[in-house]
Amino acid sequence: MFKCGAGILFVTAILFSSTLSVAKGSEPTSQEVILNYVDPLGAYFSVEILKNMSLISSSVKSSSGFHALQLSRTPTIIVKSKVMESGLSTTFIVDMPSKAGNDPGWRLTLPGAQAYVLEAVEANEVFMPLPFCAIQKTPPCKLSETSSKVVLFEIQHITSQSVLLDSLLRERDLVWDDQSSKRVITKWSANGTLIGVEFTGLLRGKGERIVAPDATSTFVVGLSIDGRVSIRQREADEAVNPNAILFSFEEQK
Amino acid sequence: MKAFYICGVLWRSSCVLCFFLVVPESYGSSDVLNVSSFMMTPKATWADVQDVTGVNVDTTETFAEDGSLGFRVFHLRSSVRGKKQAALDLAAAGIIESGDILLSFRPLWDRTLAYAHMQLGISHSSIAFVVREGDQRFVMTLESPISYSSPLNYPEHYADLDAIHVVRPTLEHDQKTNLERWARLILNDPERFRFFGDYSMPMYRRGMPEIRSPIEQVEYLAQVALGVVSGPFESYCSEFVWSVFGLRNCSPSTFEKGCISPMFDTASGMLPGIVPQMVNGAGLVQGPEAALVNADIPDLERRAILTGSVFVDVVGDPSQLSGRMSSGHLKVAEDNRGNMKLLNGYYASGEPIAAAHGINSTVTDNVSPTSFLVRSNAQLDGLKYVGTVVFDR
Repeated sequence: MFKCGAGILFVTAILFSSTLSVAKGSEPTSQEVILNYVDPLGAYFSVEILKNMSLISSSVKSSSGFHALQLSRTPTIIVKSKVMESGLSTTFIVDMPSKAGNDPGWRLTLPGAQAYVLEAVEANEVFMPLPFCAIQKTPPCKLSETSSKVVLFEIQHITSQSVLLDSLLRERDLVWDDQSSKRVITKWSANGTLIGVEFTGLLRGKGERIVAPDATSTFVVGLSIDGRVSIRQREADEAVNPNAILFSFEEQK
Repeated sequence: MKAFYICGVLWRSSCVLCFFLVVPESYGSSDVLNVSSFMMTPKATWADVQDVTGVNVDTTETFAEDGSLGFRVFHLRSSVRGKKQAALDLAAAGIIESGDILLSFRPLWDRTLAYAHMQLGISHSSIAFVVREGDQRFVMTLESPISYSSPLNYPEHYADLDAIHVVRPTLEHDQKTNLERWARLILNDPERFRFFGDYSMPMYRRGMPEIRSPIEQVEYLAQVALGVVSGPFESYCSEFVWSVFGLRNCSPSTFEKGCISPMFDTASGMLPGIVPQMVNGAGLVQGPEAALVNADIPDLERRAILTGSVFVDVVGDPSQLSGRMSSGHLKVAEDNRGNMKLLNGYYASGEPIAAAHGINSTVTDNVSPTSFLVRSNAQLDGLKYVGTVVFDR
C-alpha cells in the first residue's frame, strides 16, 4: 500500500485527518500534525534549518534560486595529517522551487559534533528516484511533501526576516537546549495550507535547570503565516492550589 | 482502519478517493499508537471497565495482527493535551480512579534503541487521584518532581505528552483513603520532597545511615510526610510512586512501621533484574517478555522477537534520535548498550538460569517507571491495564 506516490498522499491525508478537531456535523477548522510521527527525518531536517537560520540567511538571501536542499554527514578521515572527506553517509533532500536555472548553489558546514553539511543543489536524476524517508525510514531518502512544505516555510521566513532567532534568544536571555527531545508541531488550515510551525525542546532559559530526564523547557519557537518568528513561553492554563482541592475522604467530612 | 488498507491495496490511483469516502467514519483514529507488538499490552491483563460515559472521550481497541496484544484507547480532543480540561474530561468519563498509576508513554521510542524497547517506551510514572475543587471534579496527579503534580497540565511534562497508560492496582476502599491521606500530607508541604535524578540508585543504596532497605525507605517517606523528620525525601518518579504505595495499609494518624507493605511481591519489595523463566515473577528487564508470554506468543516466535526486535539497536544515526528521546535517555541507552547485548544473548541461548543469576548479581533491586507495566503484563501484584489516553480527536 505504501509503495506508490498516491500512497504517500494517502498516508499523509490519514495523518492529517487523525488530528482533525471536528465536532460531528460542523465544519473542520485548523489541524495539527506532529512531524516527528509523520517523517522523523523531516523533523530533524527542519530543526537543523531553524537552529541555523542566521548561518543560512546570507546564503539563502543571495541565492537566486535552487532546486533542492541536501543535508548530509560527511565523515572525515585523516591521511598523513591531511583531512579528507570520505563522501556522503547520510542524505536528506527536499525539493525547493527554482527561481533561476544558473545558480551554482551553496554549501555550509553546520556547527555541532556531527559535522553536517547543508547544500543547495540541483535536483537531478540522481536524487529524484530516492525513496521517501517516511517510508524507507533511513537515509539516503527524500523528505515527504509535508516536510518539504515545512522547510520551504522556514526558508520563506529566513528570506523575509531581518530579525532572526539568534536576536530573539539574546533579547530573552535564552540558550539552545541540547537536553530535551525536539518536537515539530505543524498547523494546517482546512484546505491544507501550512499556517504555522512550532518547535519545542529547542530553547531554555539561561539559568533554567530542566529537572526530569523527559521534561521539556516551556519555551516554544513559532513561525506564523504572516512571516513572524516568535518565542512564547507555555504556562499551565489553570493553576491549582493543592490546599483548595478536596480528596474524597475530605468531601465526606 | 481496515478500510484504509483495503483501499490502498486495491486502488493505487484511487487512494485519495478512498480516503475521502472512508475518513468521516474513522473519527478518533490515530497513528500515535502504531508501535511494535511487544510494546502493546496482553488482552488477558486488561481491567474490566465500565462503558465510558462522557461526550469528550471515545473508546476504541486496537490490536497487533493476532489480536492478543493491543491497547484500549481513550481518545481525548487534541486541544486538551496539556490542559486542565483533559483532567476534567477523564474524571467526567469515569476512566481514572484514585490510586491509578499513570505512565508517560513515548511511542517514538519504538524502533530506536534496545534500552528504550526494554523500557516499553515508558519514561515517567505518577499516581492519579480524582479530586474536587468547587463544582469541578478532575484528575490530580501526585508525582516526583513534586512540582509536576497537577491536573495534567504542568507544561514541562504534559504539554508534549502524546500518550498516557493507565495501570490500576487492586485497592480496597480503605487503602484508597489511606493513599489520599498521605497525598494530602505530601501536598501540604511539597518543599520536603525533591527529585533525585539517578534512576540506577534507589534511596536504600545511597549510603543514608537510616535507610538500608527498601522498607526503611518507605518508613522514611512516612516520617517526612508526618513531619517527624525534616527530610528531604529525594526520589525519582517511580521510586516515589512505589514508596507511596508502600503506605496503602497505613493510616497517617496511627502510623507504625508494621503496616508498611511494598506493592511488589518480591524478596526486597522492589524488582530484581530477571526472574528466570518468569516463574512466579518478572524483573526490571522483562516487560517485553511478559507481554509476549501473557499474549501466548509461541516460544520460538517470542525468542525471535526478543532477539531480533527488542534487544537490538535499530537506529544508529543520532539525527534520527533527537526528535524521539532526550539526551539523558539517549545517554542511558548508550551506557547500557553492553547490557542489552548480554540480554540478547540470554534470550538467544534459551534463558539459562545461571545466566539470569549472573545478570542479577550486577543489578540493584530497583523500580523503574516501566516496572508497573512489567508486573501488569505478567499478571502480578493485582495490577491491571486500564487503557491508554491519547489526544487525537
